[in-house]
Amino acid sequence: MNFDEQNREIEDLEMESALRNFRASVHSWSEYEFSKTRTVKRSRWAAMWVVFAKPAMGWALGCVLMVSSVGIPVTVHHQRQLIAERNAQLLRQQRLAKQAAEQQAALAMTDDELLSHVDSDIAQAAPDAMQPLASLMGESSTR
Amino acid sequence: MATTTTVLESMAKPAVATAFSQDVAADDATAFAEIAARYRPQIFRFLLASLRDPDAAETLTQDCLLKAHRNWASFRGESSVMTWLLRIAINLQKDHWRSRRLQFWKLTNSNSVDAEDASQWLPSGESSPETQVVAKDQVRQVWKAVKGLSERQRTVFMLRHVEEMEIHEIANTIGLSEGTVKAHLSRAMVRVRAELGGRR
Repeated sequence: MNFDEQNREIEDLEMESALRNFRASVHSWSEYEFSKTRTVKRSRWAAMWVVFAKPAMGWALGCVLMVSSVGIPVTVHHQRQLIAERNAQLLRQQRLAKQAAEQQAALAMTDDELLSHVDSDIAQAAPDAMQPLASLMGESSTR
Repeated sequence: MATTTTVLESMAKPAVATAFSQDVAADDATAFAEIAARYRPQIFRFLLASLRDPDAAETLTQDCLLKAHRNWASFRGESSVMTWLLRIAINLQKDHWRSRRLQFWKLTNSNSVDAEDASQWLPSGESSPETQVVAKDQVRQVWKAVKGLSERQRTVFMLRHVEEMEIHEIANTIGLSEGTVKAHLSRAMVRVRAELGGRR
């Protein structure tokens, strides 16, 4: 066995011994810690959180969820109704405005236009059956 | 205890898994209580060695057993109970490190024991004071090396050298191939050897 081999063997033995001691140390420490009685430390705030704040938060979250699940659809429906009503009102206003404009246009007709309109209505040729009467009327007027 | 041994033996054998589940269904709670009592110290030891924090180790041990209890019905006995429990413990430990990393900005109360203090633990044997000093120094150096290992290397190292598990058991527990486990272990050993002043 040369020097290098001897050296390697010593190192291996050292390594083995170190790992054995490490294992024994961890086992010993673990046994001690495992058998030790441990008190659970909890801050006052943590205790308050568990007793009061946590349930309160739960309730609050539940309320928010319920209100939003009911409130949002109701609000959306209400908004739609408002928009529909506004649109209907606009249409009604437009219709009224149109009617008023027509009336205004009818009133705005001049007197001459009205007379010519009337003339055109009454100035129509007498039917053939009335022709003798019309001629008699013409004769009597000349006399 | 005889019942527990029978139960555990049947757990290790998938062929009799059905019979096992029928047995367990009969007295589920008692069987689990026995298993918890049996494996709790080992889970605690693994977590303590990995975290060096007795309080965190205790909490995670409780969490591990709670999780195991919840999933007890789904345990099919494809692996041994210890492997299954350690797998849960490793996952919890990962979550713990992750949450610690996420909370780096928060002033968290860590009861992590320094490597120097952890190395003070040695079984009170008949060895001489000189031997004790040498042993403590070796343990301190191993702890120092372990501190520098990656999470996975540390887990593999602890399972191999503290829990004395076989490579295939470690591979089964962590869910890695045996080759990967060997590679992690080899890197960890190089580091420990270097810390101990050996060849690199």
